[in-house]
Amino acid sequence: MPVDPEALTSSLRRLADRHKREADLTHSLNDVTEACVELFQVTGSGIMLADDQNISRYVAASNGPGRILETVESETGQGPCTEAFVTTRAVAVEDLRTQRQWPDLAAAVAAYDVRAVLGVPVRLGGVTVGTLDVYRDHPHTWEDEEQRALLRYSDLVATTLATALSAHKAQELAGQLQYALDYRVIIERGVGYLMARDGVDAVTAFNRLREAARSSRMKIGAVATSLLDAGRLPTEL
Amino acid sequence: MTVSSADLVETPFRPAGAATVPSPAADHLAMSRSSPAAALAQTVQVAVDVLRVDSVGLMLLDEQGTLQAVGFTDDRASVLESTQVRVGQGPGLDTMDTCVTVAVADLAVVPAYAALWAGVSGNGLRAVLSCPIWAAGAVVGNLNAARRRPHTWTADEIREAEAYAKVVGLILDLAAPSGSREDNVRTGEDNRTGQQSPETSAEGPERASRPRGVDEQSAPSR
Repeated sequence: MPVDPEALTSSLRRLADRHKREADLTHSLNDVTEACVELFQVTGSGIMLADDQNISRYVAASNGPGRILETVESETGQGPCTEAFVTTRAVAVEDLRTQRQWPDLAAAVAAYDVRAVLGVPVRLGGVTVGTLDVYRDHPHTWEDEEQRALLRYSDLVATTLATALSAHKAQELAGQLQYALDYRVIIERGVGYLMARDGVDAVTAFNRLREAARSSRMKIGAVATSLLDAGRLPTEL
Repeated sequence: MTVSSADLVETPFRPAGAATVPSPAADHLAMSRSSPAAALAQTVQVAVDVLRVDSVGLMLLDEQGTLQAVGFTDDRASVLESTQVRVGQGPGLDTMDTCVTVAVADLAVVPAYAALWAGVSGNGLRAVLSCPIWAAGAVVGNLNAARRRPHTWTADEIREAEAYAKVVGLILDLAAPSGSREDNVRTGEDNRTGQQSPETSAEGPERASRPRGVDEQSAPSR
């Protein structure tokens, strides 16, 4: 490993002496999005993480429009960040205003200069637990090199999360992510089942699971388990 | 909408099949935790790709306030860091003195770094960008991004490296044990020796307006 553990331990002890208060993960993630803006020279950046229903939710953003983009995506279940979360692929859109795939999202952010958006998955222990997104205030074609660089930066977001979890500085987040990590595979299988059965895309299938969970007041992992056991959603009984 | 080319990431969905109840033994959260050393190793590796440089090194102050080479991406960066510590000169040390970024276009032509160059001339790294790492309200180390060829660092590159160094600092903040000891914050000490420095105050180091130890042929960042 190209890091000297003993020297690092000594440096961290020094830092512990200097800390007047414990580092806050949410504040740190906001800083990560601000650094992302500088690094990629974009208008804004944000981070969404899975909640205890495995729905990706706004956690941090570099500015107001970025926060609105993420909040609307959570509410509508559509958009590049949602698709990146469900499919675990980078998803790029040149111009939100002219695309037709996510009309609700386009209408909701029409008043803000959120045009070109790129969302990439954030993986923890090999499991997608959220997304990192960037946007520009003008139409833009995201090149493969930009997408690769943002995917690498998402590794840094994951490192930030893993470090906070290891230092036991994110207990609430740990509980939240525990569910997402444990049930991600089951939910993916449920999504795959619905895609094959209903002939729909991954995001539509995911949103059907999500709606069934809401309607039946079950957790989405339990809905997916029920679907795979019985071949139908609880709301289809 | 465009979805990234398939070589970027793998397709996640597996064929639908029988449900598998998560095993209690499969503690995904535990597997997701990261040791500080692993986190910093990942951090310096990612820096090479994101900053588009050839090598990256990390130097941090230890408990005695002595600068140590802690992490590096390759042998070149390792030699650059250890040589700076050994000969007592270099952009990383000047960054600690001034608390600002030091940009060097070509180590070979900076008289102030002659001893450093003598030690690393066969190493292959020429251009170095050294950014201070801030944590717990003080400069605790520096991130060194380096290229094999002489290179005048642009304002954008300097800004990007400083942004990255900021993330390194917050990861260190998160990795540090919670401060259970007596609050004995020692600000205003010399970042190399632990002695009181005239450039620092009880409120913490002051940012210098211009890097020291760099001549006109290098590229001061500010």
